[in-house]
Amino acid sequence: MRRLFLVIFFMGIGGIAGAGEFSLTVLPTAHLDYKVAGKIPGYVADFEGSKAPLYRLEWTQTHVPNGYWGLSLWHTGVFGGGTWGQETVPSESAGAVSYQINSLNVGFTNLFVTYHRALFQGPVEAQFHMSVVREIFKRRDFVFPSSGTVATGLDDVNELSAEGMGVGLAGIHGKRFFFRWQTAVHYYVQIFDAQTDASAGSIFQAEGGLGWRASPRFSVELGGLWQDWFILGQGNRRLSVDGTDGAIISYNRQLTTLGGFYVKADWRFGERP
Amino acid sequence: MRGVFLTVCVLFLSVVSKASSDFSLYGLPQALMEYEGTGYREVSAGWELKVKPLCPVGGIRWRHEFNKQWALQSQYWVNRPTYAEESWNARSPDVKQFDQTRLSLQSLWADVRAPLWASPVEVVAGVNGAYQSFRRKNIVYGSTNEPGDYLETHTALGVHMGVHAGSQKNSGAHRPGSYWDSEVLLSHYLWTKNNLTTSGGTIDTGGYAYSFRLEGGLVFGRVRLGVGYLRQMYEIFVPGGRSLPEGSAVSLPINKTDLFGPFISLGWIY
Repeated sequence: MRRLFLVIFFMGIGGIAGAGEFSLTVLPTAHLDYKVAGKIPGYVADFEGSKAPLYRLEWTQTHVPNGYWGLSLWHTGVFGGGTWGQETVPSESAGAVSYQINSLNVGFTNLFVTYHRALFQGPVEAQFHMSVVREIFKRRDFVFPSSGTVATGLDDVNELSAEGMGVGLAGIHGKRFFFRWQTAVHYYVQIFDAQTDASAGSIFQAEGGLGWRASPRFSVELGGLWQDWFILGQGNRRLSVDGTDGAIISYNRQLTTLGGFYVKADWRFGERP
Repeated sequence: MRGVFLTVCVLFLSVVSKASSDFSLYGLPQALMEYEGTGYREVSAGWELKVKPLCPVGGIRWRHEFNKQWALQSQYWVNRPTYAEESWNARSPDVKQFDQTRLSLQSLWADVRAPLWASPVEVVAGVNGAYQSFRRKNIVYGSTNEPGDYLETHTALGVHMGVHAGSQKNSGAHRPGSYWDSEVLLSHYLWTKNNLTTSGGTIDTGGYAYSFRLEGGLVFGRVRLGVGYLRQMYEIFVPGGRSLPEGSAVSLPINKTDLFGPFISLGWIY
């Protein structure tokens, strides 16, 4: 129902705007892997990974070779139907039972503002991105095997955000049946986080798919997408739990990779260029 | 022999090319390098190793334009390594590590460049690699001396994209002119490797890098003389974290090296 609402919402905006191109990309069963490291011994966690749909809503002005703007919003997580995975924090002592086990869902909501401009000729265009990214970590079901403690009712949500710039290339080859590809690399800083290094991470994205233009105003496409995201954070935060050293809920360095097959639907409004 | 080969290649391409290309040498007399390694695996205490040598850096950049639409560029940067004091931000103030580290860094970037539609700005796409090594000696951990010296190496290969902009060449002009040139390259490492590996831990491989260069100066016929600023950053993830028997660290999993400083450049337009 929510997905239908979003489709109708963006089609409605397109109709109002009377120009441009809207698309909805969904990775129904994207696999998300999350790895972390800290600056303190014993401060890592193993995450079994999770499945979560990824949604990307995109709007661009009418495509012209001498430049046009676009917006895209990416989201994955519990809100979009993501599952929970198990996170395990090992004990500092080798061979000891785990210090902490909990459920974890990793999601993100990222906004990209993109300027597109064609290269000198052909179907390839360059893209210049500005972006605000936010990674969201939800934890619950905390158990501490090393001390036999169960933290009933305890949950936590914490977030990391960063601002960045990036460059990319994209191309569409073919007309009625086409091959589309896109890749980008983004570099991030954390303007509002004075205690973290200025170099706050990077995102690398690559995708490609085969499409069918059913009509001049509508096309559908199938393909694959992969994203690799490294981000720094202050980390080292714990929640107070009696009988333990606290529930570990944040780390200094996080690497999140996401990949899967996508379905993309694209609508054009207004005059074609 | 390599110099002769390079010269022959440049001369050959200058004959077949109808566009203007250039070959430039760079020197950073006192570049500042900052290395910070973090994380742990075998290391039981401490979490951050830092060394900040001040050393000369040199570079070679060769850009060849096949026509007004396509150009190739490769650039190579290397520092002259010197020993500098490395220190350890410890978890406990009573146990720290000090040593002498010689940080050596080399990087090679090769790419294709094409202009945007109706614009002098170029888009860049290519591949790059970095190799850095750390020779550590005189290691003191707490009050214990670690005998011997240890070599840690990192290798990384990746892809990059970027933007290049600059003034048009004016080779052959009768009067001296001016020029400026700049680029930003952003890289993602697809493959990394180190020699002092350990098991365990989470973030194993990958990384990213950037390179920023801005320069300007004068053009005398086919010769360019300029000054500018270079800033590069290499973040390399490897399964590091090796410790010595006394507890000191000789490798770490997450390694960031910054290189920056002003430079002088000498170029030849052909």
